[in-house]
Amino acid sequence: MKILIIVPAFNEEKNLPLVVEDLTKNCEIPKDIVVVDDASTDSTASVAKSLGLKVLRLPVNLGIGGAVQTGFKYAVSQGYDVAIQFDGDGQHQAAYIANLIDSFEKDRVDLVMGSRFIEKTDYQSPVARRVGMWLFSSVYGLLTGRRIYDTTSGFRLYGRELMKYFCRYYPTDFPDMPALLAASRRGFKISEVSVQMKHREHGVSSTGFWKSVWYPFKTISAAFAVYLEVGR
Amino acid sequence: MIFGGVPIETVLLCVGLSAILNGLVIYGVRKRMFSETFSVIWMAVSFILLILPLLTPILKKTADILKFDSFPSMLFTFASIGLLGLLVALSVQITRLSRASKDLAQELAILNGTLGDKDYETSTRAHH
Repeated sequence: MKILIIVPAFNEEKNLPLVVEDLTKNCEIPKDIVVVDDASTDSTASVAKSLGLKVLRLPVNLGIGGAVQTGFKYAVSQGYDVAIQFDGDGQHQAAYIANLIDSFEKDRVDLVMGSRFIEKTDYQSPVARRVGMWLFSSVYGLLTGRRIYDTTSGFRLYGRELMKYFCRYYPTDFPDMPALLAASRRGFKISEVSVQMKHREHGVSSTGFWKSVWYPFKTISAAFAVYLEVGR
Repeated sequence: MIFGGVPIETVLLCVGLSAILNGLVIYGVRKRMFSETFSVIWMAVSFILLILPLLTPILKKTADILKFDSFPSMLFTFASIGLLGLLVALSVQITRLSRASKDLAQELAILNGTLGDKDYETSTRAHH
């Protein structure tokens, strides 16, 4: 099975070496790594190249959705069977990649979510964020009749057929939950496995204050738009 | 002096303002500021605005038939609907263009990445 790790990165020059070290030391599964540099203004691309990684440098900032979709397009064109989204901010832990692959093979699903909330983990998020996550999970449950504990997790494994679909259609801006909903509406099978996550070590999230205020409204309205757009 | 129930000064003011808009649109079209579709739309809009003040008697009759309180409220209603339609059309256009530029940016990134590999392979082969 050909596995590609997609690392979307925006201004992650300091976190990227740690991410690569984690992927090299703690994940022994044969894999290729591609960094999708979302038009960073720092030296993310050159750091990634100096680490010997394949880099896809976007000429303009497309946001996380556009960056991840670039990874899917690359993965499909290069014949990968599976892609794993692994954020460049250092929050995801490579040791759990094996669990995602296990679930993909055993449960025969198209999408495996790395979830922080199936089991009690050390991950602590602010109350406002937890309320938001609960809200997204509820909206997802309302629209699909299924329960996903962590709809905003960016630690995901995608099968080839789902990647092909996402090459054609992938929500932009705040795609986490709407993409999940689109996959579910199209009949792709989804599973969830428990993972631990860390907080970023360097830099700040690209989601600033105003973006985080706008985030819940945008995500929920995008979810309803996806619900209407993507028929069963 | 009254024209179709409207003071002639008001009619002349409206015609004057519409003529200015017409001039600006023609200037824009000549300078290729609009695509062909939008040139046609704005030329049509500015022409309609130019002749509307001269059609006040007809407008008043139409407003009476359609049971509007007055012909300005009828014009306002139709103008609002027209502008909303234009906004929808522009939203569609913007979405289409955003998708096209996103696809282009992604293709460019993938092509550059793949060509980078080829350059590397070629240079390694040359070294061997």
